Amino acid sequence: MLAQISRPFRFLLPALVAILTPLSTFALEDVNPEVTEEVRLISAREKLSANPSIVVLYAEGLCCPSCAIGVRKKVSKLSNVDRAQFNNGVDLDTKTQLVSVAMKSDPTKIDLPSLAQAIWDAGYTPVRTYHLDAGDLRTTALPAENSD
Amino acid sequence: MQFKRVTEALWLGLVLGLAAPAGADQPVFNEMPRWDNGWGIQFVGERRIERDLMSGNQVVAAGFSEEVDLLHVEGVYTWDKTIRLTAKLPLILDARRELPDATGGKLIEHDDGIGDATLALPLKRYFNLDGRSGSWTLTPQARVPLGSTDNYEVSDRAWGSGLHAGFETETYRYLFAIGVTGWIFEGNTPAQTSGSIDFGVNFSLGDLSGHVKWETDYISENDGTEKLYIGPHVYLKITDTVHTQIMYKREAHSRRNALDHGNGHIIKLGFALVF
Repeated sequence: MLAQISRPFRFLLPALVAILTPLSTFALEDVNPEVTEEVRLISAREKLSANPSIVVLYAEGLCCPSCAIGVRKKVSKLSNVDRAQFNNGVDLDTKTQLVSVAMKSDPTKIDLPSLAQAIWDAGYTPVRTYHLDAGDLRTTALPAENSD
Repeated sequence: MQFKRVTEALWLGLVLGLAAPAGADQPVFNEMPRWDNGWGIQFVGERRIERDLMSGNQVVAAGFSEEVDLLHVEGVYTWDKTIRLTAKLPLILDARRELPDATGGKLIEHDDGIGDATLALPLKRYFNLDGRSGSWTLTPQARVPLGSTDNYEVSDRAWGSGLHAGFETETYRYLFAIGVTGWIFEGNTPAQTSGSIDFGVNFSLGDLSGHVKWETDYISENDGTEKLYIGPHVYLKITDTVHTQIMYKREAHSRRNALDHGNGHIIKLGFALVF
C-alpha cells in the first residue's frame, strides 16, 4: 500500500502535519480563556438579577455560535422549560460560556441531573449552576455524565 | 504532567502524519450535528473550471478547458456524539471538456448523471476546555462506483477505500483544522492522498453568526498529479436548522502526469438543514 502513496505526500504532508498538530495543540492550550471566572460571576449575577425565572449554568466548550444548537435541542425538551422565552427557552453567551435556561416555575426546583445530562448529550461539559440566595451568588456543581 | 501532554501530542501528530491515504469534508460542514441522535441533509452546488490542457507543469494547449457542474447530495446521522454515519452522492449536472482533434480544432466531450457515492464513519473524540472546544477525528471511508458511462467520465467508477484523520479546535474568536486523507482504488485508478489546513475567525451579525476560513488543500495522486488549492470559505448559521456556506478555491500549483486539464478553480455554494 505504501508504494501506492505518491512520493511528495509521503514526505511533505506527514512532516507538516506531524509538526503542526502538536504545535497547534499547545499554542491553543495556552490561549487564555476569553473571560476569567471573576468576569463570569459578574455576568451570572447580572443575568439572574435581570431575570429571576432563569437558571444560569457554565459549560466548558460552549464557545462557538453553532454550539448553542445542540444545547437548545436537548435542554428545551426538559420539563418546565419556558420555550416562549429566549430562543426556545435557551440563551447562550459564547463569550462567557454561560447558558441561561428560562423556567416556567421556581428555577431552584430544576432537576439538575437531567439538566447536566442534556448538556452532556449536546456534546459539552457542564460544570456548575449559579443562583442568587438572598442577594448572594451561590454555585452548585453539576454531576458527571451518566454513562447508562 | 506537561511532559506527558507533550508526549501524547507528539504521538498524535505522528500518527496523523503517517495516516497516509485522505479528503474530506463531511456533512454538515464538518461541524454538525454534534448532539446525540442528530441528523442533517446538505446540498452543495459545485462549479469547477480547469482552463488549460497540461502535461507535467507545462501548459500544452491553452484554452482547452474542462467545465464541470455538480450537485452534491449529502446526509449525516449522529447516533452518539462520538459516532456519525455520512453518505455523499454527487450528481453530475453537466461536464464538458475540450481536447485537440486531428485537424487542430476542438473535440468536445460530455458527461452527466450520477457520480460515485462515498460512505463514511467519522469517529470523533471531543474535548471541552475553558474557552475552547475541539475534536480528533478518524474516518474510515468507502467509495461505491455508481457513475454512468458517457463520452468521458468525471467519476472514477471504481471501488475505493479511504481513511481520514483530523484535528479541529475552536475558541470564541478563532478556529483551526488540519487533516490528512488517503484513498486507494481498484483497477488502474491512481491512489490519492491529500492534506488540508484551515484557519478561521468566528463572527456575529445580529442574529446571524458564522465564520470565515482560509483553506489550503494539497492533493497528490500516485501517477504524479498534484493540485494545491487555496481560497476563502464563509459559513453562515441562519437559524438553528438552516445553514449555508460559500467557498472559492484557486489551483495555486498544478501538475498533471498525463495529458489532462489543469489550472483550475472551484466555486461551491452549500445549503444544509440539521435536526
